[in-house]
Amino acid sequence: MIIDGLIEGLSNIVDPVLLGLMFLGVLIGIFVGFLPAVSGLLGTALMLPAIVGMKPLMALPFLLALHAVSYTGGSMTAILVNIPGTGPNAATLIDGFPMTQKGQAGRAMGAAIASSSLGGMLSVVFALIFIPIVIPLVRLLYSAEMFFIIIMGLSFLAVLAGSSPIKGLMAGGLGLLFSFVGFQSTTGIPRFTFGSVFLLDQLNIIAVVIGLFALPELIDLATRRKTIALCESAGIGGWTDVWEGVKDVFRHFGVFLRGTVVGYIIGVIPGVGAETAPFVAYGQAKQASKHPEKFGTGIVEGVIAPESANNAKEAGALLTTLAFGVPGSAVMAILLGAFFLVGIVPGPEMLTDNLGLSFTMLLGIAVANVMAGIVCLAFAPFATRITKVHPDYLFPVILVLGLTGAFAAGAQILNLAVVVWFGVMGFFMNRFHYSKPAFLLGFVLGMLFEHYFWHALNLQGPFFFMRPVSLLIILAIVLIFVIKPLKAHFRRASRKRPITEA
Amino acid sequence: MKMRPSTYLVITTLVVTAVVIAYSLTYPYLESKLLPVLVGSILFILTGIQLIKELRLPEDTSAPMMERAPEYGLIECAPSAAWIVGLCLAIYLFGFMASIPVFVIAYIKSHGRGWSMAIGVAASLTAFIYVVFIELLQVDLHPGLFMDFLS
Repeated sequence: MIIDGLIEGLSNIVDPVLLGLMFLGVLIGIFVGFLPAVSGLLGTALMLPAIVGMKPLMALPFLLALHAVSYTGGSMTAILVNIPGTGPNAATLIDGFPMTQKGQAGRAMGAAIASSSLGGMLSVVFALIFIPIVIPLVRLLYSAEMFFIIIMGLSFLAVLAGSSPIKGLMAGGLGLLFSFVGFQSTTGIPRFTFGSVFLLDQLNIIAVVIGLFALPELIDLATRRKTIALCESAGIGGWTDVWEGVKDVFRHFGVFLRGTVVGYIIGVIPGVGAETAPFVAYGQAKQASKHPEKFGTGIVEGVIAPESANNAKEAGALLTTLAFGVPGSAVMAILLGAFFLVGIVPGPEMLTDNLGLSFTMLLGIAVANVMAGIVCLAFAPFATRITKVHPDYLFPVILVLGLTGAFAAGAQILNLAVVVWFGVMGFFMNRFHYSKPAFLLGFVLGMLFEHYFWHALNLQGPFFFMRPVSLLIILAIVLIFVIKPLKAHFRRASRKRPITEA
Repeated sequence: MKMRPSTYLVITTLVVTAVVIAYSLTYPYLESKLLPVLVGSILFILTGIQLIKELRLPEDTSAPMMERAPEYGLIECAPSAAWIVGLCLAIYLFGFMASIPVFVIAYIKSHGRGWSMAIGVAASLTAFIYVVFIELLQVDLHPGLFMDFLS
């Protein structure tokens, strides 16, 4: 049955009309992703009226193509101007922008585009292979397991802390505290809102990221009055540089593969949040690296890891949405609406009766990633020219786009105040060497951490962690942090032994 | 024992954290206060340790935790920060579509560039914002308090 479905999916996906429609979706997706702070979510929502009357086989791959590649477009703004095109691209700017400052924008973009596109394709292969295993496994996940998955993400705070662990943990703690602003999820009590209606809905992540990362860099750019690429002798990033970045993905294939697996697994788990995957992939790459101290200074592994996870999570998220009819994210909720709009009811039948359509959508993600990779690679050498534009022109343009994007992200004028507030914080964090990625990780995971903690406690009691899957996740967390020091210890011990024996 | 600029930041964090803990304790249910109090307390302890570390550092140390001498002072950065705050205020009062061209022209001209480039960049950027955000994405950009008042 699976083979029949796969063959039907393959024959559907080569339809020239569908390919043309998907290419249009890819172009729209890259464009909305490229715009600072405008995500694929908005693009997908805006395209909903366009699919009314379309056949499911045309409408759904079109929307999926649009959404699946928006992160590829979003990586470009993160790398070039330190503003993530979409929320999940925030992890890319940690190393992407320093690479641009070093005159390696082309290489960073090549690596980001290749890793996100290849990650997106590989995750489809994972999805196809692991359908029979993943679905029963997802059924085993309850709030307790979700809580420990979030704890796993938070444990990477120690990795993102940088050279000063106390400062890093302080930044992470501050991020957690800021995530508590707004309604508490289980009681509905407003916290730290000081009577403001605007704060009830929590702080918008896009506004926080623009303030924290982009504003301090803009101030630096305008004060320095030199181009973004600090290295004057560096080129603007032509084809050679972009191609070098593509080759980097294969040079660091382990980093890419682990990022893709992390992205796929987190994508499969509903409700963990799109921003979690790239940060966990980044933290994991840093943790496993032989030179973790170089992360954050502009190294290509720091771009490959989050970008491979970014697109990889989409195939996983689609699989869960199809199998359970439960959207794992806001975009998947919109897609679920699109399913109903074209007369399809998601649920277990999608993996039995409608297997052909399900495979067409999964293969559509792979094809969209190929298209996005080609389009973005063709565009990359031109986009990198921005790094050589004088700040007298660049500063107002980036500032206006950033502020407009921050406003558009929540349609709230007070988001501009959030941008300024976090801009001030980011400025002082830069000056006194506090880890901004650690702050962001705390902020992103804080809400989920609290939500799942109370759910697990209320549903499963104080010993909610005494479940087999929870214990396995706890073991995994311990292993992540114990394996490397243990390996180093045994390596040292084995080096000393011959000397002692001699 | 000398107070460095970073020490003031640590002290501010310590005070803010103490206020957060005290404020959290006023919330009615355990669910709403437990984690803010817990995270706040951990942060308070970490900040206290950091404060002790900073105060114990000798004045001429080059230990890694001491902040690097910033490339630019606060005074040098103030004009750029003022442009940012100015644009935010202008948007709040006069809306996006009125503030953007005026801001772009004012910024580029004040940095000694020609009129043609200033007007060209301003016109292109305003057109881009209009077409993409208002026409294509259908975002209702803030019209400004002043415009609201006039209408």
